[in-house]
Amino acid sequence: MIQITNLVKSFGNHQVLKNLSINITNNKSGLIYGFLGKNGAGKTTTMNILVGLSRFDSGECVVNGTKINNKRRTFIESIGYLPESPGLHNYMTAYEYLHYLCNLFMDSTTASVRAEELLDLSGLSSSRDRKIGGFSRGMKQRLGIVGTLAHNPKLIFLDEPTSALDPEGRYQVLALLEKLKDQGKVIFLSTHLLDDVERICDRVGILDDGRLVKEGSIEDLLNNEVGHTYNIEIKESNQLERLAKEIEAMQKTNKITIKNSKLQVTFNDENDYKSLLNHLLTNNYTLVDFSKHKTKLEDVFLSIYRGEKQ
Amino acid sequence: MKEYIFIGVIVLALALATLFVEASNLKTIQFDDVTLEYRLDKASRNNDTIVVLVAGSGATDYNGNSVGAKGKSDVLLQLSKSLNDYGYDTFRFNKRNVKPENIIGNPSFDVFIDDLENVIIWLKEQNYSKIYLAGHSQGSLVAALAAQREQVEGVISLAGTARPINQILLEQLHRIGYYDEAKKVIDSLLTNDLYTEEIGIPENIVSFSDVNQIFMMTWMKHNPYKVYKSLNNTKLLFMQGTKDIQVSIEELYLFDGLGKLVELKGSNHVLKVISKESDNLQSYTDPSFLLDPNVAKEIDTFIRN
Amino acid sequence: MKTYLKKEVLYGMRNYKFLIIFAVYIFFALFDPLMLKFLPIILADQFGGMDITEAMAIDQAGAIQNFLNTNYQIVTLVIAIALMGLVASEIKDKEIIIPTCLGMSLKKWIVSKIFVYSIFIIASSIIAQLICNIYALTIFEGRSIEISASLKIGLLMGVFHIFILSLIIFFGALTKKHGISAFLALLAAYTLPALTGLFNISKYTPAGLINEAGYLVSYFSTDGIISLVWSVGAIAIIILLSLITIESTELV
Repeated sequence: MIQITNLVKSFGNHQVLKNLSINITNNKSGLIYGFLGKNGAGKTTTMNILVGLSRFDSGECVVNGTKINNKRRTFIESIGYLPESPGLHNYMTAYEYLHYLCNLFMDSTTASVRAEELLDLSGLSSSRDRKIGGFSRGMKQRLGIVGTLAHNPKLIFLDEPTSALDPEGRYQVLALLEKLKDQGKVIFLSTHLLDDVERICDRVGILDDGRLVKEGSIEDLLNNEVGHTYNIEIKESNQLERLAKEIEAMQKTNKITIKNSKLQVTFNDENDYKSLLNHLLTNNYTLVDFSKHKTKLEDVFLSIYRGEKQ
Repeated sequence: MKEYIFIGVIVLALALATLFVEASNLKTIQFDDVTLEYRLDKASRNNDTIVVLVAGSGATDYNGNSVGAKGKSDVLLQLSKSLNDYGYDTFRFNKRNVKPENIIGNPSFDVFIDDLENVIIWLKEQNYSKIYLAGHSQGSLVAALAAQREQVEGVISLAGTARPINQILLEQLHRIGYYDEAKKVIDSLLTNDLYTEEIGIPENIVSFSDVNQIFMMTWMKHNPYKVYKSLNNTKLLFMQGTKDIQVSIEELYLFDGLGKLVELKGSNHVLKVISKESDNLQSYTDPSFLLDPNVAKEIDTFIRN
Repeated sequence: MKTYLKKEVLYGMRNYKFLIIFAVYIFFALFDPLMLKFLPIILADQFGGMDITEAMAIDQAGAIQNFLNTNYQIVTLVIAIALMGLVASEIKDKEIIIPTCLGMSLKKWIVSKIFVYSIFIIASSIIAQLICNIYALTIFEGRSIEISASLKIGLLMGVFHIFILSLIIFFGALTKKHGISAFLALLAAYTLPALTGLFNISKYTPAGLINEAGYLVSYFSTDGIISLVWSVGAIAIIILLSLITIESTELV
């Protein structure tokens, strides 16, 4: 569905994308691909190129079988795109807006039916005749998302769909995205909100300095990338420093941190925790807590940006 | 790419359209020593009657406007349209002095008569059997003189003088305090001599340059009343506005006995009806002052009778 | 195409563009004659009680001429400001992203704007001129200007305003900034008569439309016809340039 090979894009002297390559193959069932990166990493730039709206310097992009022209705008069949802070026609009602979008490529009667379907999907049927200008941000996002579905595309690009939304708004948008995935849609979602990614994404690509530095399923990333981390709390909290040095001397760990009178230790091998446990018991430390740390995507993210050993 | 081609086509179309509009607006006839630009407006297909509109003094165009002057009166254009509405074809032309090169070496008044005579002959060749000449101001004398040379059905004088131009000019300059200066020049011209001494009349009032003096000399030779009187087999109509500040209403009655006399109540020298004096001069340069409708009406009555 | 046209009509109505444009036309169509009617009274003190109606064209023609000047100066300004965001704002506010990705034709988008607003501007201009003509006729005595002359004036000024509209659309597509679009369009509007007059080429530009309108007669002079032809041609060329530009304008 999406094949990017060695994509390069500069704005003046600043090179934003540096030989970016991504490959997302056709998926018969739905998929939500999370495209992560810190601010300025090049997520929006990549999105704009993928939907054929922006030019690029070199490389190749193929989306839904259409090769994107790097000299001029390319229309790509069967995609929808919701940019960050999208503009909607605020003077229209929700129904009028959806009807307008549908009417661009279907007759008025069919457009009416489709518009009602989309309203229903977005949960905005009760606000059908309200002007968009009076909508909350969350409502506008939902409307924008279903707007991109007017022609029932297989592939949808969403740029930061939940940023700037309150928790309820975010919840509603994420629920909608899951519904779309259940319908078999492939969603390419760019965001910097890691909780959202963890909640709904199946695969993640992490962009750093114009390149894709990590890619894989959430599970793989969490399990394989950061190592095996354990939280240790001992009664002798004033001896944490000494304990940390002792653990370091074992040379089985790749990270030891002391935080809030607790020790957090990361092992490369999932069985290495046994030697630590043994050390604690044999050295008469009074164990208060010894538990496996639930790795979050944030940890993966930070490990990349802090350049830590994988 | 397609759009660039369209742009090219549009530019070409514009150029062609402009050429077409300008070409269809004025045509030309080649006479011996001049190419005359004219416009013939047909009221109907097989008309045998045509009214030739002859412009007044100065470098006046086929619409009755002075070339190079700011503003316009469109007196001949409006008269032409009115006559077309009455069902008459009309012929208007640029006086040859609209292009200064046409009068270099020949600044005589008589060339206007030659041109009009040639026009009459040409119109007869176009199968017009009933030709009327309508001369405005100076054009009234030109029309009468041309009618002397080439028979026409009728001549219409619009704000034309009965007296020779020297008398009119002297009278006009007398009114503004230049009688003595003007008399010297005019007396000299009447003896066919150019006045070479310094003339104390500003150029913007009257130019007595050598070229103009030659022109006036040849103009003064003709007595309009006598010329009109000599037109025996020609119907004559004389019209004069009561608010004309260049030719007084009394001038009309000097033609008494020669033909039909019509007073145009409230009309000025450019045949526009004015309600206040400040409009008089303004109407010379403002076409929204429309032609007195009685002008065309009287011409229609005149032609029918 | 109907979809695009309906959308523009809805935009114009809901954002009061039509109302603003129509209102400014009609306001001055009524205000100018009225102002002229009261001018002698207003200026009487300055002229020591002298009747200035002899010196000034305090009549229907004067009122129409006044409105013509106002039309050129003020109505042009209001139209430029009201419509400056027609293209620029939609691009800048990313309103065309979703439709473009759905397959909206940017060319039809532009053409629909020019079509809808051209018809509205011409209609408003003609109606305003007729109102001015009739109203001035009721409050002034003296010579009158033909109704057909006002129809012609309305048409000519309408075409002039459509020329301004086309410039706004073009500059909007080019710069994506509504302020600059309006500024450049107004710059053209207000400098064209002087510049073209200097080189004696007014009749080949929309400035010739204003000259022709100023004659207050119902018939067209040859120069007037040429101006009309060239103005329509210029509008067509500017629109084509807009279509070329929008295809290469970055929408993001």
